[in-house]
Amino acid sequence: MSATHEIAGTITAVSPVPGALALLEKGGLDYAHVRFDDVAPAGTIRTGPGSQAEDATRWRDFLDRLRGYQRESVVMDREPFWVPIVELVAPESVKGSCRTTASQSKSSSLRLDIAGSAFGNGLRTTLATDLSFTCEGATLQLAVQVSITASRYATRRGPAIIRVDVDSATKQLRLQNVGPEQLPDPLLPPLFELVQRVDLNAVHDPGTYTWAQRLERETNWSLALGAAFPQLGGSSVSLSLTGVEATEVAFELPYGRDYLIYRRSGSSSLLPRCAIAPPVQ
Amino acid sequence: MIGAAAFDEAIQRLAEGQPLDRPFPLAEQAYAAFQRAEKLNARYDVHGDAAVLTESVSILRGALSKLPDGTRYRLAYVNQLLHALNKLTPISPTTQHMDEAVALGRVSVEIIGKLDKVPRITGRVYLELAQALLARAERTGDVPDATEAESFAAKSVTFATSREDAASGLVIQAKAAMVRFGRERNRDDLGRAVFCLKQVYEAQDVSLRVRGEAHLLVADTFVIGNSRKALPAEIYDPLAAAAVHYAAAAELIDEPQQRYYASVQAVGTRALRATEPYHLHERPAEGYWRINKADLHELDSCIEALRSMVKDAPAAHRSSSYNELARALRDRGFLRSDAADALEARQAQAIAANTADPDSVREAGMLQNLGLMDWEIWRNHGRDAEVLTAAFQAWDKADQIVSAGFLDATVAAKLTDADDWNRMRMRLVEAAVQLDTEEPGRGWSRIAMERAEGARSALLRSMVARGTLPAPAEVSPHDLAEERRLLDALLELERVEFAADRRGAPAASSQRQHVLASLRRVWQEWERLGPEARRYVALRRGDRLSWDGIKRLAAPGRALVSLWHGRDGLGAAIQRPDSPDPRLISHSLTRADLTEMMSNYHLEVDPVGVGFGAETWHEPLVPLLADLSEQLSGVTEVVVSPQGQLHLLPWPALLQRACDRNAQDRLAVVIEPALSVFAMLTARPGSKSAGAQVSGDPTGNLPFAAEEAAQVGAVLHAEPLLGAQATRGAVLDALGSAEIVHIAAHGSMSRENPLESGLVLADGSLTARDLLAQRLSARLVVLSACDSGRGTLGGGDELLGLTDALLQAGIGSLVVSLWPVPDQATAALMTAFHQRRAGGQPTAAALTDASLDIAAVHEHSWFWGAFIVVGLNA
Repeated sequence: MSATHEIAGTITAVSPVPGALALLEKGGLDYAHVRFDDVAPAGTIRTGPGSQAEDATRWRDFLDRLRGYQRESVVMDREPFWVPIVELVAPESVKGSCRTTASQSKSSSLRLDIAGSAFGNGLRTTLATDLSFTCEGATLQLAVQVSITASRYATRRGPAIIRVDVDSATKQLRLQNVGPEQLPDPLLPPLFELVQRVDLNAVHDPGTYTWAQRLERETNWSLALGAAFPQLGGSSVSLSLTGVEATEVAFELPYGRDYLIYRRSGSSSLLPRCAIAPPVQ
Repeated sequence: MIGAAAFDEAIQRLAEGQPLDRPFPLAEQAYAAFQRAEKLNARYDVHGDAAVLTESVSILRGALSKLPDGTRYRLAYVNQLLHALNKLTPISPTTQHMDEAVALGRVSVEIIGKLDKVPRITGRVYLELAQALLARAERTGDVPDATEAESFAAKSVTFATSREDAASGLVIQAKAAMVRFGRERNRDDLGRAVFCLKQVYEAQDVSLRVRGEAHLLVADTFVIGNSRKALPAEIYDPLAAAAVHYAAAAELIDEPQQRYYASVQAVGTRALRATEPYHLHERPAEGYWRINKADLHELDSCIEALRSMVKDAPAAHRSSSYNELARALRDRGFLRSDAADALEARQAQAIAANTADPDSVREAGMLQNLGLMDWEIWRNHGRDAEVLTAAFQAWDKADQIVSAGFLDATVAAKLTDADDWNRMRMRLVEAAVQLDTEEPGRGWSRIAMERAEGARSALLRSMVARGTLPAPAEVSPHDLAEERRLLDALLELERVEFAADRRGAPAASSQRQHVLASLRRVWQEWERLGPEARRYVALRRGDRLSWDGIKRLAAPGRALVSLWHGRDGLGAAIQRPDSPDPRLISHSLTRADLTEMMSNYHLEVDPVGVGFGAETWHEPLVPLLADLSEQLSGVTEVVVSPQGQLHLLPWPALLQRACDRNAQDRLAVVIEPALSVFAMLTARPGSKSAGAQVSGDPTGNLPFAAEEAAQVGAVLHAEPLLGAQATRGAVLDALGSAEIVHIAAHGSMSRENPLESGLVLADGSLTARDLLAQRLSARLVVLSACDSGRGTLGGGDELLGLTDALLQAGIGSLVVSLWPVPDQATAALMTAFHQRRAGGQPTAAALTDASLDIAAVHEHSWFWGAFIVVGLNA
C-alpha cells in the first residue's frame, strides 16, 4: 500500500455544528435558551440533577464573559488539515483489518463530531458502512479532510483566545501510513489500557490465530494543532473529537510470539491496537 | 381524689371574699399562694429585689404541682408562674429557667385551645409565651425561637386588652425580628422591626416609658441596619434618624441608666454621622446621595459633650460611653492625621475594654477596637513595634475570650458569628507576620502560623474531635467509657443542630450545656494527671493546635503549609521538617483581585471553560507559588491547610505546575480543612475495617463510570456494584465496614443548601445531611464524581459539603473533586490511581502521578486537576 491512499464517496453526510461565539454573534444564544450541549466541547460530565453545574448563574457568567470578546484578526483562513479519526496499528507480520458496520444502537455507523476550539464552529460527519481496510507492520490512519480558520479574539479582562472554526467542503477521506508505533514497557494507564495479552509463544505451528472484536461505543479525545500550525502560538489550541464507532477489527497473529492488544489515549482511541509483547524476563 | 368542681367553687368564694362552708385546706393554700406570689411580683416591680421573685417562683411551682386535674384555674397559675419566670430570666438567664418558661407558655396555649370561648387573658398568655421564646432566642440566637416569638407576639396584639399590652407585643415582635436579622441578615426583618416600633412610639395613649423604649430600640435598629447596609430604602439618612430617636428616648425614659445610655448614644451617633462618608439611599431621580465631607465642627462639639458625659457614666454604661468617645476621637484623629487624638482615643478605648464585663463578648469587642486603634497608631504615627505588639495582644486576648465560648455556642452561632471574629483573627496573624519582619528571631513566625491555624474550620475541628483518639495511659478504662458516653450524647446533639438547616435546635441547647458541664469536669480532672492526658484533652476540646503540636506534624520529608488571605493580601507559613521555625511569605492581592481570580477560576475549570484555551486564572498566584516552590525544595510530601475561598482552589495542580518536579521526586500534596484536623486524624488509631467496595454508574448514563468500576474492582479484587445494585444502603454499609470505598457516579452540589449536596445513587441521593447521622470507618473513600469535594463556605471558615460530613463521620482519607469532571478522562485517571496505589505508592503520590499522566494527554487542568486528597495520606 502506498503511504497515502485517498478513498472517494465514503463520507455520507457532513453537517455544521455552530459554536457558541457564532451563535452569540448572530444573536442566537441567550441566558434563557442556552444549553450545556450547545457549548460544551468536552463530552459527558458527572454532574447530577440539581447540581450547581447546571445553574443559571453559571451560564450567565459564561455568556457575559464571551460577550466581552471582540474579533481582532484572522490568524489563518481555511487551511486544509487532515484529521486522523481511526488508527489501525499492526506490528510486523501481523495483518490487521477493520470494517465499519451498521450500528445496533446509534443512528450512524461511524459518526465523528469535530469541535472547534474556543467556541468555534464544528462539524458532524458520518461515514459509510462496510468501509474496510487492512494494514501490516504499520500504523494506518483513516483521516478526514477539514479546513481550519483561526481568529484571534481579545478582551480587556484577560488574555486573548484563538477561536478555531472547522469546516469541510470536500468530504474527502484518505488512508495514510504513519509508520510503526513506539511503545513504552509496560503499557501503563492512563495513556495505555491493556485490552488483552495473547500468549502464542508456546505454539509452534506455521498458521495464525485470529483475534477479533466487534465494538460499539462512544469516546472522545483531543488533537493539538500547534505542531501543524505554529502560527497558532503553542499547544493549547486543539480540536475536540467525539466518535461513535461501530466496527469490527481483527488481527491475524502468527504463532510463536506473544501479543498485546491495547488502546491508547491522546489520539484516536476508537480501535484496539496490536503490538508484539516483549519477552517475559 | 379532690374534685375539680369543688376546688373551683372554693377558689371562687375565696376570691369573692366569702367564707367557705367547710374547711378546704388545699384550696385555701392554693389561693394564699397565688395572692402571696402576686404581692411578691408587685414588690419586685417597685423594688427590683430578685430574691422576692425567686420566692414567688418557688411558691407558684409548689401550688401548681398540687392543683387538681381539670380545674379551670390552672391557666391562671401557669400564666402567673410564667410571668414571674419571664421577670427572673434577665436576672438569672439559665437555660433551665428559659426552657421552663417556654414549656409553661405552651401549656397555657394548649389550655386555651381546649376552651369553648376565648378567655380575657388570651392576649397575656400569648404575650408571656412570646416573651419567653424571645428571651431564649436572644440568648442562643436561635431562629425558630425568634420566628415563633414574633408569631405569638403578633397574636398577642390581636387579643390585647390594653394599649400597653399591644405595645409590648409590638416591641417583642420587633426584637424577635432583630434576632432573626442578626442571624440571617434579611433586610425584611429589619423593615418589619422598624414598622412595629413606629406604631409604638407614635401611639399617644401608651406610657412615655414604653414609647421611650420604642424610640431607643428603633434607634439601635437604624444603627445596626446602617452598619450592615440593610435598611429599607425609605430611610435615607439612618444615622440622623437614629440620633433623633436616641434623643427622644432620653427625653421620655425615667430610669436613669437607660436615660444615660440613650443620651450618650444620641451624641455618639451624631459623631458617627459627622465622620462616616456614607451613602444615602438611592433616589431614582437623583441617583445616590453621598456625603463625603466630614463635618468636623459637629464632631468637635460631640467630642466635648462625650468627654463631659463619660465622667458621670454609671458603671453599667461606662464601657459603652468610653467606646463612643474613643470612636469619635479616633475618627477625628484619622481625618486630621492628629496623633494626640489617636492616643487619647486609644486611652478611652482601653478604659472601655477594662470596664466591660470580664471575659464577655462585649469585652472582646472593645479589645478588637483597641487593637485596631493601636494598629492605626503604628501605621500612621511612627511604626513603633511596641505599639504593634500592643495591637497584637489586644486582638489575641479578644480571640481567647471568643474562643473560650466556642464550645458553648450553638452550631448556628458558630457558623454566623465567626465571620466578624475571623476578620480580626486575620489581622492578628498579619500583625504577627509584620512583627516577624521587625523583630526577627523572636518567635513571631511560630505565633503567626499557630494563630492562622487556630482560626480555621473550628466547627469541623470540634466535631472530628469527638471521634476515636488513642487513650492516654493515665486514665482508667472506666473513666474513658464515661467520657465516651458523654461525647456520644454531645455529638448526637450537634449533628441534630447541624442538620437542622443551620438554624439550631432549641431543645438541644439546655441538654448541651448539661453534657458540656459534665465533660468539662471530667477534662479538668484529667488535665492534672500528666502530659499525655493534657494532650488528649486539648485534642478532645478542639483546642487551637499549639506550636509544638504543629511542629510534630512535620515528619521527615513532609512540609506543612498554612495559607490565608487577609487585608494585606496572600500569606503563607511554611514549616519544613528540617527548619526550627516556619518561613513566612506574603504577596499583595486585593480582595477585588481575589474575587476576580475566583470568578475566572470557576469559569475556566469548567466543561465550558475548556474552550477558552490556555488557563490564565491562576496568574495572580504565580509569585506566591514561586516562593512556595523554592521553600518546598527537597520535600516529597506537603500538607496544605488553606483558608476561606482558598479552600476551593486546586493546590495539588497549582503546586505540580509551579514545582515542575520529575517523576523521581514528585511532590505529593494533601489538603486539610485545618492542621488540627490533620493532627486528630493522625492520632486516631488505625481502622479495623477490611476489603473494598466499588460502585459505578448507578444511574445507567455514565458508560465510562461503569468501565471505571469494573477496572478499579479488578485492581481492588472487589466485584463492582453496577447500575441498580449501587444503592444508598449498599454504599452506606460499605462506608461503615470496608477499608476502601470507591464510587463512580454523578455528583450533585447545591450552593444554596450545601447539606443537600451528594452522590446520585440508584435509589436516590446520598447527601451530606445523610452522612452527618452516620458513624463510618472506611480508611479511604474515593468519590469519583462531579464537585464531590467542593464545599460551600459557611460562616467562619467552615466548608460545608460532602468532605466535612465524611470527615466528621469518621472517614480518615478522601479523594474528591473540586469541579464538574469529564466521564472518560476520570475513568482513566481513577484506574491509573488505584493501580499505582496497589503497586505500593501512597494515596497522594498515586493521585499526583495518575493526574500527570492525564495531563500528558489533555493539557487543560479541567481534565486532570480536579481531584485532591483530603485528610490522611493513606
